[in-house]
Amino acid sequence: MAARPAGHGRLQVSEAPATTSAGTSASSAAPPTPPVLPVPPVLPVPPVLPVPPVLPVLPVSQVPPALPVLPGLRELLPGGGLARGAVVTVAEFGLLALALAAGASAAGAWCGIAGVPEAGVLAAAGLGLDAERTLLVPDPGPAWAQVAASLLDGCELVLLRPPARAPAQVRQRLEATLRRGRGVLLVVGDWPGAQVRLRVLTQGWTGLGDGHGRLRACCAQVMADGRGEAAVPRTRWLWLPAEDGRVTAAEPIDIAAAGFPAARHLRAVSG
Amino acid sequence: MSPPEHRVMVLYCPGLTAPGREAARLFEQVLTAVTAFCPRVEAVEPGVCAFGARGPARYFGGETELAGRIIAAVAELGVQARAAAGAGAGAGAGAGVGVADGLFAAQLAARAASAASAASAAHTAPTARAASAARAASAAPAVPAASAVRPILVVPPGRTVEFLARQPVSVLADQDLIGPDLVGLLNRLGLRTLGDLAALPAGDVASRFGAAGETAHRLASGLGSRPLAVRPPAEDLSVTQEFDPPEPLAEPVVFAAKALAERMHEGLAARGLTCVRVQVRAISTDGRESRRLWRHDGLLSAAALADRVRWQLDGWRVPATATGTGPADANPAKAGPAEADAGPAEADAGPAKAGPAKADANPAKAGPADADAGPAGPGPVYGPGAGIAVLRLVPDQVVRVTGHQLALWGETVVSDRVARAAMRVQAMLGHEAVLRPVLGGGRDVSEQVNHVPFGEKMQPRLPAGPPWPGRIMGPAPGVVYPFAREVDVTDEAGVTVTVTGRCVLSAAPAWLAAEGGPPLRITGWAGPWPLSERWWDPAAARRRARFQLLTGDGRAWLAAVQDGRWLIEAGYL
Repeated sequence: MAARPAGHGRLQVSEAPATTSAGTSASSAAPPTPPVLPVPPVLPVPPVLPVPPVLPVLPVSQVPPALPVLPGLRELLPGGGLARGAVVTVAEFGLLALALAAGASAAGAWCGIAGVPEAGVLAAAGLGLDAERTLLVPDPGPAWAQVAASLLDGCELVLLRPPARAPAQVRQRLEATLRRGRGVLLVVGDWPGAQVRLRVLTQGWTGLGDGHGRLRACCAQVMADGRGEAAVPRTRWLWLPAEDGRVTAAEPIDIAAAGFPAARHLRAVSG
Repeated sequence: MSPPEHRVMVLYCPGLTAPGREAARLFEQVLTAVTAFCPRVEAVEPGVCAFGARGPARYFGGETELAGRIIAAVAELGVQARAAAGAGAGAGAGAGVGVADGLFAAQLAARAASAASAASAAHTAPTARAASAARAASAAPAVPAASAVRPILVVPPGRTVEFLARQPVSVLADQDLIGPDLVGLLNRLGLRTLGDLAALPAGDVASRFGAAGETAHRLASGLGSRPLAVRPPAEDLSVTQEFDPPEPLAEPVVFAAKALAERMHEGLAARGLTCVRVQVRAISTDGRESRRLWRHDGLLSAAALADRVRWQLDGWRVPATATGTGPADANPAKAGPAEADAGPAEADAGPAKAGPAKADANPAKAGPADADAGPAGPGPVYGPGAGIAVLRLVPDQVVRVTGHQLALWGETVVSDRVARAAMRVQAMLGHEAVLRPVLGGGRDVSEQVNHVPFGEKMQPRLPAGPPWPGRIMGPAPGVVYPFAREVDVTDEAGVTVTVTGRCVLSAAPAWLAAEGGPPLRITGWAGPWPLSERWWDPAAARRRARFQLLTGDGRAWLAAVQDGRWLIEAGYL
């Protein structure tokens, strides 16, 4: 790490002769590192995630720890993603749940959606969900826990709305399946012991007038809490979705424009 | 020209001539029944089959005797079919058998026999040569009472021309090359019967009526019936394994299934065939049967097929949970879907057995049997003494092997892991339970997403390519109700808002009331956006006016007015 800034600096001074000297100094100080090209400090965020839809099959030890989420949702989640083996709940089914699944799907994961016959696949696809890598089980019936366990064998993310309140035994068995695999269970509703709990506190749509206009964007206040790392509640204002269809953080001025006069106050309370 | 000794027997089932799946299925059963008497049968047209009568007649002791046996067999089939399907006309209703020289005459004879038996019980066939005597009564214990007259008409060898001569020319109407026009013309010319036509010189008929007339003349003269195009019976490519004693554990059955699948694959490969689907049938000793079709496409190995058998046997227990909720409720201490499996399964087998005595045994085997993660699950599936008696693999939709190749681009490869997971769920809930969404065209949000069962071809119902004017722009709703919810939208005065044919609103919508909920204040709205679709097709035509409504709780809705009713189609939640 110490050699890296030095090499960086030299490369910026002059390119061709510096590569050799940088290489020698690096080899003496630390294991040889490839010459680092000057990189602009801040990369512009690409408009849409251009991730190739290929999921490398890795042994469990090399599996990255968390499933990626859409950039706008990163701040809400500990570790900036959905931790594998974890249960994440969303209070009500809606765009937030679909956005969480869409981020993972856009990164190449298979998604299973069980028990949500009204899932708006079109909206999810607009957020980044790859419909080709989606399995739907609209009505898992009384064996929903087994269905979810089976889906978790094949899919990295399973969005599940249990048709009934899950007894502790069923929950524990499903969580055990979850820990063995490398998936994430995204539950709509309540799930005692969930690592992260997300809920939309308020939301407001823009663009619709009194007899004119059309829905354009939705500004939503999302709160996350849970256990462990996620124990401290975090609240963020998001465009869910923004006018361009992405999920981004909303600025206070946007929130006021979206018709939330109490936005400043809410923000102050939530800390 | 058919040789005079070419005797043809025709079976005519008037109830099965109508097109339709049920009739075709019954006729297939009829064909199978007839194959028991004569292996080479031609299905002439729906409800009519023909075969050479000489050999089997000699074996069964005469044409009448053979015909009687076939009628009895078909009648028995018809009784069963009616009992099963509850249909009015079974396979055997009014079936007739005719025997003559040549296919054409035999067909006429069969129709005449059928009509005669249907017309009256006492009236015999018009030729008076119908074998009406119930000599073969011993062969017909299960024949329904209607067949007091046996619907059999045997035209003796060499007398076919005589028989034909009495038939009206109208019987030619449904023959190939001869249309109703020619029949009408012959009638107007005074040629009422085939005999009249046959009496004319063949050359004159040909020069006057052309090829159609020549064909008609040959048929009327008892010539020109085409030879039978019999097909050999379909080879039975299914494989069966019987378990004696019955196998109570799933694992040995799965093991046998692997060897069985190899045998089936060998049999198919030896003929250069493969199957699109394979049906796995397992019959337990208590008489229950589990049948399920699995996608095969020539891609499944024997081990993979054995896996399907395992999932099917595992899944066999799951639907029982759905039907029998009683035991699950009765044991709240060990609640959960899993351990209820064993209980209701036995409840199906015999209500008397399902009792507290069984419940004792459950907790012990609940653990490993329903853990669902392990591939084993070898717990006792059935009651004591019961088990799998027969396992049968039936190739379905057999096709020639053409090889399989993925498309170069644009086809998402479903990894084995995902396919296994999906098929496991299909084993539990059925083929249609696991869907893959396909984005296609259409104006409605629900139209644009088609759901295709996993394993089937992914093709949208409406093409996505052409533009679809009339779509609602902007973000798509996150919640799309499978069935639109009826609501009441009222104005400030509490009167339901209406939309005229010219899209004029009666008043601005102010309140949205869903069934069972408090009315919500509408804080913003837009519309109506009219949509008139498929006016050319009365069945699919729809005229609607759509709205976006914003309610006071921050949620937005996609509503539509159709036939004066307000429907919420989707929610922006």
